[in-house]
Amino acid sequence: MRLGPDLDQQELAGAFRSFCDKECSAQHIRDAWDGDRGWSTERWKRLAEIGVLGVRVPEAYGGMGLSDFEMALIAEEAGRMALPEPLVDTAAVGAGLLDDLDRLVGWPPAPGWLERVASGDAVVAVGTLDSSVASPGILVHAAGEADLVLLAAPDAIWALDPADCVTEVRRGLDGTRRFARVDLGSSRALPVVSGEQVRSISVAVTDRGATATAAMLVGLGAGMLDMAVSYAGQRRQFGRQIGSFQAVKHQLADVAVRVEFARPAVWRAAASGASGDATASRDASVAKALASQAALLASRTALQVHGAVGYTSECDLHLWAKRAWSLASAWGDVTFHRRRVLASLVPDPAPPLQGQAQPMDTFRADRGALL
Amino acid sequence: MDMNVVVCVKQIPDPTAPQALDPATGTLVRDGKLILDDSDAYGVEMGLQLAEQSGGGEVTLVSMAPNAETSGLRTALAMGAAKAILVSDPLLAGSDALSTAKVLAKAIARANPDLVIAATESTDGYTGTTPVQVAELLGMPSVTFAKKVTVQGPAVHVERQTEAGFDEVECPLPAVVTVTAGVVEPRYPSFKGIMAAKSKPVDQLSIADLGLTAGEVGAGGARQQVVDVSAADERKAGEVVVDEGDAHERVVAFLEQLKIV
Repeated sequence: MRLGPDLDQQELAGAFRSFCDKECSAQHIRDAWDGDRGWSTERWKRLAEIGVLGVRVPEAYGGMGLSDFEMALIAEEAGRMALPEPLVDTAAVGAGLLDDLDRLVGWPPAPGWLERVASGDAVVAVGTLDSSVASPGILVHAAGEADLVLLAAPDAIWALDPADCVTEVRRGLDGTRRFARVDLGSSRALPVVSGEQVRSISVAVTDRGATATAAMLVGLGAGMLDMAVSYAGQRRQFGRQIGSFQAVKHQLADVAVRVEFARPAVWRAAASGASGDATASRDASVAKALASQAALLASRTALQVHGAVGYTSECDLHLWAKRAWSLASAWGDVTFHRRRVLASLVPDPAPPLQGQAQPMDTFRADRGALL
Repeated sequence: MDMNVVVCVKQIPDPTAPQALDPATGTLVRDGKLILDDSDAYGVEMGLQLAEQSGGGEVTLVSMAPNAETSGLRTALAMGAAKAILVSDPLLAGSDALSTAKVLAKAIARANPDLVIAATESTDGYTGTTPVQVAELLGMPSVTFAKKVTVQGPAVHVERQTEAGFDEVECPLPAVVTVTAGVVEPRYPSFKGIMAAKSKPVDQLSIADLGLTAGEVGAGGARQQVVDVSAADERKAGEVVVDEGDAHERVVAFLEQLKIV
């Protein structure tokens, strides 16, 4: 089974890379940190113009009609340059869920929203809930800037107007990521669809979010590795470049191995998601766990190699590192996804030890810690 | 009026990759993958805008390259050009600027253009003479260094960059115009454009197809030859000015010498 991108897919990813090289420099990211929403509406329009936002939107609605696989290639390039726009939320997860709601449920507003996503006219934020029982409100990335908030629980999906449900917006540790508290109770909205048929749609939401975020993490890891290698080639100590020391080389090589090994796992997850394989959830979890670990190791090693300058805000590294830290816990952290892999392999795994956090609690707690 | 615009584009070795000169001929090695010269993206964008403004015109690319290379042309086709004419022939190896101009002029004539656009000079050769030679061979007027181009009826109106400012020039069509970087902001090829570019026609021609012979072009027809290649001067250390009350005057004098003020 061939998983790597074909020439056409490489060409699309390459064109997007050229775009990011010019339109998303470290200075652009710094500007985004200082902005009201953490990203640029102007760049969002340009992303729509070149077709990035419509990759996952059917051609009938003005998109490219491509799959989760192409989306993953795009997300990796976005990660490499730490693109601040909510690409994963809207173009991968949002468009994917809207497409499912259109095809499987026949939700009437879905085509209109898909058209707006492709044209850059709408930002869609997506959150997940463990159950449809009213909660005091969950944090949803980009919901504060969104035009549509979709919430997916195992037995119901809601489509909400942010004006009705967002109660507060908080800035993340990564200044480009803003989290909105979405209160389902206060909105009193009825679900778009509920019942048993929702389960597979909601699982696909988590899988898509995990896979696209994993792709971004691979890109972030590769980007930080590039920075560290470049710095190790310039910085001199003891009369020579620090990159010539084995102690530095080995650390960088370890990062390269983790990043290179995470990438095919992302490809596999994206291909499984695109074709609706029975292993799609397990593959998404493998990808997210490996990519999170790779990006976290890349950030630690890059910090170490940069030495003291690495943790100053003047050094660009932190723009990448903080994104990686934030995304490593988005759409399920390493523990959550390792447990999902375990559950897919062992029918009845031993319960966690008493007092140990449940997977989704860990996910929440980590998110909270990043705010 | 539907405008047929021809844009001359050059496919060059990636300037960010290491470059090499052939030690025997002193010419640039062009064996690897070639890309669209960045300075040509401005001409393509200008051509597309003028064709769009005219209502129903289209852009034809004309290029000369070794090994039937089309990857740079695909980039320009993905931006929106309708078709391309590529002249590729082993006999063209060693062409000088005039040989290149002869080939381009023959190829351009086939497209019957209202306007021909080229960059001021290529990023790999820097002779900057080919476009005006093409104009002469086609019997068209030429306007160089355009920083703004508009078409009004049967004439092209150009703001022509000069050292001191710009000239306003008007010239009847058909004409050859060379554009500077910054004349317009080139668009990014869209994903749809990239997919569509795969099915756009690229007309591949040999010199025989253009009615030229080996004696007129290529190394055989070249009147120009690289006789020697030497390394560029090492960058010299800057001048340190110690302020003795006249530093501002010396800074101004320095800037005047560079024609910045």
